[in-house]
Parts: sequence; C-alpha cells; structure tokens
Amino acid sequence: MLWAILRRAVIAVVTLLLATIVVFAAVHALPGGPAVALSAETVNPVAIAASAHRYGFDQPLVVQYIKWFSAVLHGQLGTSPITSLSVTEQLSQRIPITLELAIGSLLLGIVVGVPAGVIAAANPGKAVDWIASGLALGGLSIPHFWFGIIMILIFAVHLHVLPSGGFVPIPQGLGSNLSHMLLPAIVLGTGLAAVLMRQTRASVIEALGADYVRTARAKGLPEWQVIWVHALRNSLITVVTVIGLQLGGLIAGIVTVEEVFTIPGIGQLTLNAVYQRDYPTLQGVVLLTAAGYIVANLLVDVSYTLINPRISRRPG
Amino acid sequence: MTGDVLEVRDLRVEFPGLIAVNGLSFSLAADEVLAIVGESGCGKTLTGLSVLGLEPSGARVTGQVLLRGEDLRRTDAKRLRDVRGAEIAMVFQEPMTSLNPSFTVGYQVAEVLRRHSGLRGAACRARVEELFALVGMPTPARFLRAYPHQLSGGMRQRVMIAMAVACDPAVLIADEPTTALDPTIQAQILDLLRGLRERLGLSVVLITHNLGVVSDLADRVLVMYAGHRLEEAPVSAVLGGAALHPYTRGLLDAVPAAGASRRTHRLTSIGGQVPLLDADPVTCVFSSRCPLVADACLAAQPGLREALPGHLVACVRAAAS
Amino acid sequence: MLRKRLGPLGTAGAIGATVVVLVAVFGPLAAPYDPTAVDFNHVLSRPFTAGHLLGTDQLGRDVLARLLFGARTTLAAGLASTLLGTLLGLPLGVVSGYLRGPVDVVIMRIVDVMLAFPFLLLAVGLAAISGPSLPNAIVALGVGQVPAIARVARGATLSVRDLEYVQAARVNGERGAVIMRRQVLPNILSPVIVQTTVAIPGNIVGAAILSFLGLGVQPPTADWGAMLAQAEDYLNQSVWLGVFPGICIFVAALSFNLLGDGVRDALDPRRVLL
Repeated sequence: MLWAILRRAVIAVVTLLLATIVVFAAVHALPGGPAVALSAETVNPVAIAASAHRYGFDQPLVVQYIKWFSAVLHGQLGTSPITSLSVTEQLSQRIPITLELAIGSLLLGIVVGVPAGVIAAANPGKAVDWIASGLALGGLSIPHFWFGIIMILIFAVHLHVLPSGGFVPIPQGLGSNLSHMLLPAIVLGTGLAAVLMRQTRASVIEALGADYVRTARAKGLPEWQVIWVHALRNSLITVVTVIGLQLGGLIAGIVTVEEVFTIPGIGQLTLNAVYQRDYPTLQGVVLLTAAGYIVANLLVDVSYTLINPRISRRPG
Repeated sequence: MTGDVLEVRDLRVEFPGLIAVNGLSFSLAADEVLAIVGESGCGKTLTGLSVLGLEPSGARVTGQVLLRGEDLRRTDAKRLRDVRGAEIAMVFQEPMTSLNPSFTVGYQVAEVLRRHSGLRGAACRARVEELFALVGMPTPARFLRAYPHQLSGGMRQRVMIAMAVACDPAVLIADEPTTALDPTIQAQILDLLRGLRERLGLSVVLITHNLGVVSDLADRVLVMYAGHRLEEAPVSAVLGGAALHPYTRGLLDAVPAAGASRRTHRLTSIGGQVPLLDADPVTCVFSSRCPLVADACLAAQPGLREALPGHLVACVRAAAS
Repeated sequence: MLRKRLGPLGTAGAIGATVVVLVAVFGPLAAPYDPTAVDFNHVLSRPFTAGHLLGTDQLGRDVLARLLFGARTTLAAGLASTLLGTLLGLPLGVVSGYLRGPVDVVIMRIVDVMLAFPFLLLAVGLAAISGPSLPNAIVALGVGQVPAIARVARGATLSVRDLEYVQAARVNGERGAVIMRRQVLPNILSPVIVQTTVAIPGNIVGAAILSFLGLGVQPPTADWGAMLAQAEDYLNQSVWLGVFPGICIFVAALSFNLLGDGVRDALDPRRVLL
C-alpha cells in the first residue's frame, strides 16, 4: 500500500512542477514581465528594467525560470506595492482564516449531505426522499453568493441574530468566531451538501441492489446495519470522488463568500490584488492555491487506496 | 407432516404480469436433502428466497412457510431476522458478488456470529478460524484478514458455506452452490456439503439445474416447471429410470452420459422454452412441449397424485409410460 | 414523446431551459427601455411604479430591461464556455484513450495540471494579463471544464476501443484519426452528451460568479451577476435589486439541472427499463 501512496506523491510533485511552469508563463505574459511580479516596481520603466536585470530577466527563458523558481522556493515572493507588506507575510496571516472557512464548509457539507443521501436511498419514493431530493436540487441550482446575500438580509439585517460579516480570531472568543463563521460556512457548504446528497443517494440505491446486501439480510442483520455498514461502505469511493471534484468550485466559492461577508481571507486578498493590479500578491496567491489543489487532490487519491481494498492489496 | 423441519404449503409468488411460483408445496424432514430441480425460469430460486422472506420487492407472496410449525410469513420482522442465519441459512450462486468486497471474509463471517451467538473479540475470531477449518480452508488463520477478491471461486464459496453453518442452523438452502465454479472445484464443494450434512445433521434444500449434483447429494427430488411441482420422488427412483413425468424423462435424456459412446447416445433436447405464465394455466403447463400430449392434457393442469408410495406426479399420461 | 424519454422532471427542465433561451434571444426585443439608459429622476424606484414593472436601479435604469438583456450575456457566456470546454476536452480525451501509451500519460498529466487551476484562478490570471473581460471569462470557464469532459471521453473511449468494430477498422488498415472520428466518436456520444448538458448550469452560475466579482462583463453591460454586485451596496434602500437577478440565475440553473438529470436518466445505459 505504501507503494501506491508513494507513486501518487511523486505524480503530485511532477504536477506541482508543471503548474509552476504554467504560472511562470503567465507571469511572463504580464504587462511588464516577471520583474513586475517579483519586485515592488510596477510603474517606473527604468526601475523595472533595473530590477529585471537584477533578477536576470534578460537572459534565456530557462535561466529565468530557474531563478524565479528558486526565489519562490525560498519564500521570496516579493512585496506588495499596494500594502508594502511582503507577500509571504500577507499569505500566512490569511491562510488560517480561509482554512477555517474551507474546512468548516467541507465538514458541514459532508455531515449534512451524506446522511441525507443515505436516508433518501433507504426510503426511495417516499416523502423523505422527495423532500431531500428537492432541497438538494435547489441547493445545487442556487448561486451561493446570492444565497449569502439573502441569508444576510434575513439573519443579520432583519432578525439581528447573526453578524453580517467580518471575522473574529479564536483567541478573542470562540463563540464570536463561530457565529461569524456560521453563515459563510452554511452558504458554502450547501452546494457541496446538495451534490453529495444526490451522489450518495444514487450510489447507495445501487449498492442496495447488490447481491452482498441480500447476503447481509440473509444473515439476519438488522436493516440499519445493512444500509449504513454494508451499502454505504461501498458507496464511499464515489462520495470521495465527488468531494475531490467539488474542490475546484470551492475556491470560487471562497472568494465570493469572503467578498459577500467581508472576511479577511485569501479570497478577499485575491480580489483586491486583481482590482489593484498587485501582481506580486496575485502571483503568490495563484501559486499557493495551485499547490493547495494539488495537495488536496493527492489526499483524495490517497484516501482511495485506504477505502478500496482492491487498489492497495494485490490478490494473494 | 409432523416431525418435518420445514414445510411449504401452497407457495405462490406473483409479479405484475407473471406468476413465477404457483401453488408449490413440499416438506423437508430432519437430516434430509431435498433437491429442487428445473430449468432457468421455473421459479426455483424464488422459492428458496421466499422461504426466508428475501424475495425481490414487487413480488407478492402468499402461502405458508412452516419452520417446525411456525409460519414464517406471518411472523414479525424481528422474528424473521432472528431466524435468518441462525435457524435457516442460505448459500447463493455467485460467491464473488455475494460477499461484500470492502470487508474481510473473517469480518463477514464474524458478523453472523456476533448477531446470533453473542460471541465477541477473541472468542469470535477463534470460532471463525474453527469454521474455516471445518469447511476445508488451509491455514485458516491467514484467511481471516483476506478480502474476497484475493480468494479463488472455490475458496469464496467455502467462506459462504462457513457463514451459513456458523450458527448451527437446522436448514440450509443452497441455491446453485456449484454452478459458478470449475468442475473440479464443484466436486470438492459437493464433498464438503455432504460431509457437513453428516457431521452437523443439516437438512438441505438444494436448488439446482444440474442433475449430476442431484445424484451426488440429494435424497429426494422435486421437479419444477413454470412454477409448478410436476414430480417428486426419491432420487434413486428418478435417476434409476423410474421417472414418471415426461418432462423429467426429457431432462434425464438431455444429460450426456459421461463416457458413453458417441455413436449410440445422441443428445435429445426438449424443444421450445419454459413458458412465463401470467395467469393460472388452463392446460397442463408442459403440454406445449410434451411428446405424450393428448386431449386430456389440454383440459386442465393435472393435480398431483401418488402414483407409487412416496412418488408424486402431476401428469395424466404418466402411468402409461 | 419527449416526456416519456426525459421523465416529468426532465421535461419541466427542458421547457424551462427553452423558455430561458427564448428570453435570452428575443427578450431584448421586448424590453421597454434601453438597459443602459440612466434616469436620475427615477432612481431606486420600487416595482410596479412609474411605468417600471420591476423597478429601477441606482442609476434609474429599468430593472426589467436589464434582466432581459442580462439573460443574453449570462446565458451566452454559460453556453459558449460549455461548448468551448467540450470542443477542447473531447479530442483530448479521445486521443488519450485511443492511443494510450506515452501520449495518454502526457495528456493525463496536462489534465492533472489543469485541475490545479480552477476556473476562478484562470479568470484571475487572465484578468491580470489582459484585463477582465467577457471573452476572458468564457475562456476561463471553458478551460476549467476540460478535465471533467476529457476524463469522461477518455473513459468512454477506453471502453469502446477494444470492441470488434473498432478492431475490424484497425485490421482494415484505417488510420487512427479516421477511426477515432468514424468509429469511436459516434459510440461515445451518450456519456459526452450527458457530461456536456450537466456542465451547462455550472457554467451559467460560474459566469454569474465571475461577473459578480468583476472578472467578466464590464459595466455598463447588463448581466445578472453584475447586477447583483451593484445591488449589494443598495440593499437597504431596495431589497428588490438583490432579489430579481438571483431568481433569474436560480431559475436558469434549475431548469438546466432538471434537463441534465432527465438527459442523464434517458441516456444512461444502465437504466433499468421496468
């Protein structure tokens, strides 16, 4: 089993390298070139040319890439011309915030979506199924930024139950932190819950028609065990696959939710960087996010080997 | 009959537009092996499933299934779940798909022990090992943590059998237990079943279309056709040439005699196909394919009569053979 | 007839989707006002007042007109990007699945790299290079869709490439490209159509997200996502500004989702016909 994981890790590293090449190509295509992305100079052509020479950007592309790559590897991602903070510093400040949002919504989506799908699959055609499936279809179709706006209108503006935005770090109060995170996590988690519910429902229904379910019943096992242990276990692969596929939409969701709820995370940073032409920050964010995705996909891949005994164990 | 472990009375299994099992009755005495024989589509698998209440959804089942006098089709769900695996167990045809691919075989056998015998932990594992040895698996301890896909077909079927006999049931229903296996493995599994039946005093309902299996294992034979019982007799009578129903004779004639000279023995087949009835038959169900068909056969489906002691047949032409 | 193949829900989706498309195509002809016409005398008016059926926005522009024109931009972006994604991803998947070997490995690694850049990152990158615009948004969405369609196409190609009629063509000396076009392609249509249809609602919403964030269409063009972005600042004065565009996006996405479900159920080979 270790081999399988190792192989995937190697592929992930290769992908990461390729991704950095893509980013470098994009950086190269920027108006002003790579100098603009690594230095704090964006306006003065003379200064740009000077830093270009310093970074070796008048040399062959491959050399440029190597120099750029080693700078990136050392965490020297440049300085934001707007905030005058180092990009690395900005990123590390905001990563925990966005991580909390991302993990919170993932958890919410899974905890709500998977059991809902199982319950619907266990009662096909009944009221529970129709309601759950209908809600899932709605959650799937609703644009989450609109959903967020509506939620704010209802819960913050009219009911005054929850804050309308912002962020409170945990050391300043766990309860406050959670109350600020609740609506954003719900808004983000809804889409995932909807997709997961539908996929789980389909997989469990299919599993329930399998022969091994008949065997489980023939053993006299209680129905809940047949559904939640035997059927669900074999649906996990598709569930994990869906989670992996949804990760791509998560970044778009994070950016919009951070915008709507004014949360000072990576998403907000990205948007500001685009509006303000803050190329160093943009480069840092893109690199970080791409790396994050590759790692996340690797984790999904690894969990396959853990779930499916056929992948990790060769027939003996 | 009293003393019978299992008795099925007037079992009728219907789907929209199809009567799969029509008024089937049989009984199984203690320590007896009854073979239910027929072509694909005759309803024998559904019969086995209906005994345990495992028929597919959409099936309407009427009739009685008496386990030592208790009607299983009238008990509550909890009692039925207590019976399954503990008093009546079932072995299915396809061991690969009948075992959950995500759990070890040890776990799946332990499951039935935990459910019915209350065994846990080390005692449970020891019992699973015991069972694996009982069904003839080499190095049983090693197989505890094996997954179904790591085992051969014969091994998987041994696991299914171990699972079935784990809680010492009174009745074992074996639905085509060897059909999906290689011929050499088939013989091994049949040996195993025979041995288990002797050691554990099992009563077995053996569902099969393979007459070779019948001769190897069964005491009595029940021939099914289009959901009806056409003949029931001791195996020695049926296979010894005393079969009475034209259909049974047709089945026997269609079996190539191993070693028989090719010049003298031609395979004869029964022309046509098993009908799928959507209503109670108004003629003998076999009349459309029967070589002995006469006007009387087209009047109604013949009832069962005891042509000889212990030998039942549903044919008006049978005595004339 | 359609109802039988798509089921009741799928048919509802098909009707909804058709309505949405018709509105997008013909709606602007019926618009009572120019969507960019400002009118500072009637700023933020409520629905059903002063000749504006759905009210006006902060610049006095008619909301209904902007919704009708917005249908065009949002829908066009969603559909164009879906088409682009399929046009790019389908050949990649077929070639990869048919040729296998090193070609397969290389293409799949490229697809892996694409997976590292979700459509938002691509949009951000393109916006940084050449400024935010509708074409950039369409490209970002289309490219973001490529991994999914490529994988589906590859999987389907793998399952047909060893079938007899493909082998027969190979034995007959047909060139690879011809085989891929004539034998493989027609027989993998089902999963490809399903995947494409299912991608549409995601791209519609994605287009709305991008214009909401300012990475797509630029003002003063009317677009549902952009309208919501502007409405954010004026919610206290006019809740309606934030509600109508969202409902439009929701209805469009819902219709195409129902349609996609219906198409998938109809074309799925494992569908049991009882």
